[in-house]
Amino acid sequence: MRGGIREWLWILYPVAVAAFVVVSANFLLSNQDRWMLAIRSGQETAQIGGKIARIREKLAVLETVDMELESEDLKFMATAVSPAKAIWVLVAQVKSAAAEVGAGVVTYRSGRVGDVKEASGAAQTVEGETAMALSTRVSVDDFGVLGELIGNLERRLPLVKITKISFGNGEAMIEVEGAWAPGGTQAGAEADSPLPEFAQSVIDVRQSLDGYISGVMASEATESGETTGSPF
Amino acid sequence: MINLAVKKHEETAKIARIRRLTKAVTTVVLAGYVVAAGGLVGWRWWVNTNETRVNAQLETLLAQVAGRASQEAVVRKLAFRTMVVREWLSGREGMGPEADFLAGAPMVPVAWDYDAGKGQQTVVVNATQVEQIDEMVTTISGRYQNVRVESVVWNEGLGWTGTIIFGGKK
Repeated sequence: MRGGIREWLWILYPVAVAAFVVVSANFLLSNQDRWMLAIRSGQETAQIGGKIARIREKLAVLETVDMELESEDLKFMATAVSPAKAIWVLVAQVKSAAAEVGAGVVTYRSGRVGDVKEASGAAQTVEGETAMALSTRVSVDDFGVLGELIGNLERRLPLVKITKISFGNGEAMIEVEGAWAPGGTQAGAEADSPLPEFAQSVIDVRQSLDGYISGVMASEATESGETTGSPF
Repeated sequence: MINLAVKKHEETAKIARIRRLTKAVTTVVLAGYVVAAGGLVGWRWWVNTNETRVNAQLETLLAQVAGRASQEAVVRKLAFRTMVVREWLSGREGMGPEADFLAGAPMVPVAWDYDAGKGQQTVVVNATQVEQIDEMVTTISGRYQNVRVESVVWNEGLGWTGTIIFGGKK
């Protein structure tokens, strides 16, 4: 009888293994929430990995930023297209361009403030309009002087766009639109949001504007949009 | 008697075979289970460790980005302002070269009208001979589209006056 029991003792091995598997698996899988959490955590970690790669890329760019140079570039761009409307800057540009070619400005008129002949608070800024337009009457002796005036005006900063020309009888009525655009502060950008491409664009724009005259008054239009002084 | 001994021997051999098979299967199952469970536990440990490491790394990088907030602000502003300038430049029809062209034409205009909204220019030229107006039209046609002579008038003492209208550049 004892010999018979011994013969069947080997059954304890699979039984013990089965018991071990059942008990330990039950222990391992008892808290399913924690496993789900681990799965989610794994996915989130992968996402964070991507975020880290983007931030590293961004940091690499930021580390190469020369603040002095970029601030200078920013100032230049703000000079080219003013962040605020300043009609007197446009008036000063027209006057200066005309004087340089020996043409005389007879009158100038802005769309909103009426005739702008003398210094006045109203003449300094124009608000609430999309375009900063100025209509000016200039005395020009001949067509060549007019051409010089237009060329001179178009090679000035802030940029101007000539929208109308009416020349005849020693006078020209020129309508110009001064470049201005508000904004530029993109607050609240995500830490991993990539930086916009700027280096090559800055080089291209600087090359395009090479040789442009930055008017005395134009340089006083600061990047923040503030304007100083009066041309009158 | 002999038959019984043979039968017992056969049964013992059969049980031994079952025992060997059961032991082998159990060992394989146990090994597989240990590997799987170990892998599972290891994976969970790795996830926890990795999460801690990655979060620490992210915090460090975020602090570095925050430390360069002023650079980022300048770069974003610069990119925006540069884009604005580019748009302005590309949307501008330079009239300086057009004036230069007309100033160098066979007949210098005595009157010139340009309207960006209409995309149209009008020039008035004075000539002693009507052929000169023709020559002017030919010159303008080389550069502009839709060139047409609006009028040619003879004025005593002034000569011929031609009005030419044309559209955008070719």
